[in-house]
Amino acid sequence: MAVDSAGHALRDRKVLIIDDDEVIRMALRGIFKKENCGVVEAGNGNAGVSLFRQEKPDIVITDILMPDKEGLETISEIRACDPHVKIIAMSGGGSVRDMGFLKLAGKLGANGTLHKPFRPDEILSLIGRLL
Amino acid sequence: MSLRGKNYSPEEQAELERLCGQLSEIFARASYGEDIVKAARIIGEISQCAYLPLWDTKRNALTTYLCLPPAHAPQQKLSRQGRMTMDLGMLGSAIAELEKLGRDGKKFFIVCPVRHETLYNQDSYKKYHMLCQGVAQEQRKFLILLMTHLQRDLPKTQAYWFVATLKNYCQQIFAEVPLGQKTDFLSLRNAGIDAVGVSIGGRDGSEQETIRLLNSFSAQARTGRIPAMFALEVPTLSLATSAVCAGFDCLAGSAIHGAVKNPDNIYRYRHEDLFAGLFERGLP
Repeated sequence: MAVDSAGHALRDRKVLIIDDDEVIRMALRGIFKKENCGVVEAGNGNAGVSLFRQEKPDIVITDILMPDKEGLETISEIRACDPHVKIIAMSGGGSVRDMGFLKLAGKLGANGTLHKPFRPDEILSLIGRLL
Repeated sequence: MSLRGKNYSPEEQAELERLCGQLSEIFARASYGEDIVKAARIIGEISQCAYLPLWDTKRNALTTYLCLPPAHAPQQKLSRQGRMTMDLGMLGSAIAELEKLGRDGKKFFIVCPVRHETLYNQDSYKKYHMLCQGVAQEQRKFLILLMTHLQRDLPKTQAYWFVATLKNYCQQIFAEVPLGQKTDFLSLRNAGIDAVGVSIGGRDGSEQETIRLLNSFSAQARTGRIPAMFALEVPTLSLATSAVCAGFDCLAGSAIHGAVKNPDNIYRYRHEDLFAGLFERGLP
């Protein structure tokens, strides 16, 4: 149900995906293309913030651990540009330790968070609740 | 800009040469025992070393202060004699700070760097060793020595001997190795090194590459049963968060805290504090 509503809500919207992992970007791109949704991508926080300013997407999905501006700074800057855009933070923790950065993402303005790995219906359902 | 790799003006260079000359003279006059300790006190006063707080990421506190060379010390441009004098000067400064710690009833640890060449050269080693003897017995538990600029193929016996000798005067011994260089972690562990780490300030190349190297360093150090890992001169939040998640135990650098004039107690510092600037900015 939530996934269906996300499908309708996503149609003709634009999503910005920020992640340094190309495989994750590719997987997310596939999910959103199926929903007839526009997708733009960046491989780090700096590029993500620049792309956000140019493209004005409706939804931002960002990783936390990234080079050249990590996710929390990225969320903070995007939120400062636009108080209304929906932001989702995602993280798989680190290779050794997970410092609970997703909780901080919420405090800095992310509307939703996801632990990696997640299924396509999980992200679609989260977006369905946010839009 | 790297704290330990700064570019210097001719005026700063001249000032440093003057300072090194002054320190060398003090050491030349002070050959034995009490003279060395007196010299250390004077050097502690005039060296004007700064201290960089180290964040213990597991204990969530700034517990330790890394002694930095005088602000106007262009290490890469110093003569060999000058570099040795700087090492002696930093230990002199650390001794002076440890004495103050004893008087003021504060608690903190000082990490004092020493180059491999200072320990390897007979004359400078003799002076360094005498200076170590000047660290009061009750203050040795607050001193950590950090061996830097280790030669690539450090003989195992040499590493073992340095550690065995110096551990009489300090609580722990750390070793700094170049990031991206093959390191024999098991030998360092067997020699008795307590922590191995890297400096990531002023590196050429992308952050992505640095993060890859930090993850690889961490995996190899854990395989080599190294008890703890540290990263120094961490310049950005993205590198700090990546280092923490890669399992580094101690971090220092501008992303965490700037250098201070003197070490000053142990402070609570949680990972949220890394992002204090972002929270201060607040939500729109």
